[in-house]
Amino acid sequence: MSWKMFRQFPQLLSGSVYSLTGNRLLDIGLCGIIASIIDLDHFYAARSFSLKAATSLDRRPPLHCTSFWLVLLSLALVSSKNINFYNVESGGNVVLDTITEAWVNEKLSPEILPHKADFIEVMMEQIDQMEENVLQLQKTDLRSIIHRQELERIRYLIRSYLRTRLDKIELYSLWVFKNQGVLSPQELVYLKEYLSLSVAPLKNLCDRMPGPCGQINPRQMEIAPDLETHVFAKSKVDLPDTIIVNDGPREEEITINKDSQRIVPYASIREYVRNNQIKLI
Amino acid sequence: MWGDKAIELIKELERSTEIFPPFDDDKIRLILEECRVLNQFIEDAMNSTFHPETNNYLAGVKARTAALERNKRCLLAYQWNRLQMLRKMRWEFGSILPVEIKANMSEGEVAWFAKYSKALANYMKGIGGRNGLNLMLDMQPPKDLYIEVRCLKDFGKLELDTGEVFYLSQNSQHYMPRSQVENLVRQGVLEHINWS
Amino acid sequence: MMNTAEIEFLAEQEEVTIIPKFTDQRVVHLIAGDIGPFRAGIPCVVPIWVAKTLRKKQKCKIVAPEWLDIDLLELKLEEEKASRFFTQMPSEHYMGIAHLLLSDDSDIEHADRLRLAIKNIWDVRVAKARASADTFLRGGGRHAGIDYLTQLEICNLRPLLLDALDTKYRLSAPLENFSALNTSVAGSSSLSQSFSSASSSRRSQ
Repeated sequence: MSWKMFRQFPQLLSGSVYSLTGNRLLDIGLCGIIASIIDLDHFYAARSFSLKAATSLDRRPPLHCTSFWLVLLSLALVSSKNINFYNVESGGNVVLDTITEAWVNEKLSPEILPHKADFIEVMMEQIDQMEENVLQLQKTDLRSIIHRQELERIRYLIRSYLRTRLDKIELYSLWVFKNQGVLSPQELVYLKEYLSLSVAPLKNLCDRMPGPCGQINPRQMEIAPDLETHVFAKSKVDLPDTIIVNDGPREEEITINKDSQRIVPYASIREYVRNNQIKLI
Repeated sequence: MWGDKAIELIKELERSTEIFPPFDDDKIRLILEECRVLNQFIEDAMNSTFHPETNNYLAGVKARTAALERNKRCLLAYQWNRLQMLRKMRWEFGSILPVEIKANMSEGEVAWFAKYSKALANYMKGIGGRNGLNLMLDMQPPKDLYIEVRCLKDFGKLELDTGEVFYLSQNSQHYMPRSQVENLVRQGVLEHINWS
Repeated sequence: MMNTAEIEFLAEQEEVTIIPKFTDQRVVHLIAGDIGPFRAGIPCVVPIWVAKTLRKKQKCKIVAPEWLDIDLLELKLEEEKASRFFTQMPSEHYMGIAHLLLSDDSDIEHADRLRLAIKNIWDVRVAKARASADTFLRGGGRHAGIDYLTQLEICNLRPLLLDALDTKYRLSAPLENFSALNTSVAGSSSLSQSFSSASSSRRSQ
């Protein structure tokens, strides 16, 4: 009972369907505390702090009257349906913006960038929650249509982002394996599976070759992304250091200011892109 | 000339007008035979005594080693590029390939494709919440929730996730949720009619 | 690589003013933010994709952004022609937004004249971009400033310029630097490219 109460009151108050603390363990703890607080009415009814008095009451203390809580709970449920229907944690904005920027960067960069699996996970949870909420609306309801359209847009974003990464994982598999720190745990599992299944047909072919040249040489088979490729970039901050562009024997230093846009070799700004200080456009 | 057949193999793949040309094992066998001959020379040279003037196989061995590497490179490129084509087709057609394409795959490629499909499916199941995330949907940015489609062939009954049932007979037109018919449009069963 | 449709997807997230034809006091809590409440006749701001959906259902009228005005655009055109560099556009997605809002059944007055005005600006900017790309390539150097160039224009320029720059670098760079014999650009085998020959041949059966 206190579990349900615990969820409904924050909903009424703050408009968030998620738990007050955002942490399940803490939720459970707080539930326990509330349940215990309710028992304090024993001491109130007994008008004494003595345990003996509190446990030998002849009537149920006020807060233990079930009907009281049932009424309160129903009020909470009913009003939650009318007032704050769309209970989405605020802060969805930041996560969405991060994923959007990561999507553009991933599409435009030659190498696979550090993963954003945590953000994706949070966004997927929000999507799942929103979908549940939307199911309760009429399909023809304008709000349902708008919500569903937004969900499709966000799902497209995430799908396209993950697909772009998969593409690079598969194309540059051996190289990515050497730089696997950027992969999410699921991507790493996939990469290993992909590597072992992809080497097989190539190895079979090599095995048919006579002599020592029939040996598979991973260095020969590795395909690396071209980090010297040129990109369009925009800086999000004033860069503290100059960036260096290698042009044959010359080395040029460029100062990058916030919001400036440049064409540069990717290699010169690689670290800044990975650290989200420069974005690709 | 050494390496000629290998280059022909590559050219054949590049010039082919078919979506997925048959696996040319015959030509591969010829190339491997050439390799065998080249390798034999090298082995014989290694096993004979070296004399700088009368028994100097150095240049011959070097040339043939280069030719062997060249052949190997072409063979690997051939197989690798075919696998890339199959990869693209997995995204286009799903895990079940059209019969015409399957007919042109080698045994190794069939096995590879099955494993690749499975690895992909496992990955998709593992990401994104309760049911995984099917990455084969939403290949283009979504414009509308519902789209007008015309059925190009008799497909029969289609039940959507929502429980709605559509009867897709040839030339019938329907107004359907985009996300649920995207696959059928890609497979050529339905045709998207653009109003705007 | 990004294509026009994907950049337009980003443009659809930009805000636009609408005049709703309905009233609904409830705020809509989208994941991206809140919109509403909607009061018939009172302008409010929503993302373009919402505006278009509402418009399709004839629930609102879309209002042109301030900068989408014939006189202002003609001034902009003169400014752009007179400047050696790219001028700052009123919106990062000016072209995309124009395309989204000025379709055939647009609410906006003089949509065709506006379309022409935008196109004129676009043409001047793209021509400028191509000319400077040409100079840049001939002049050498591997970096250049491109402030105020918008994403759609970059998308237009990208295949031409970056490819040429990359090739130029590869030809001139010393061979030892290269594992380039084993490099590949991801865009060339992108999964998102449709396998059009496959699908068209199936349809002809």
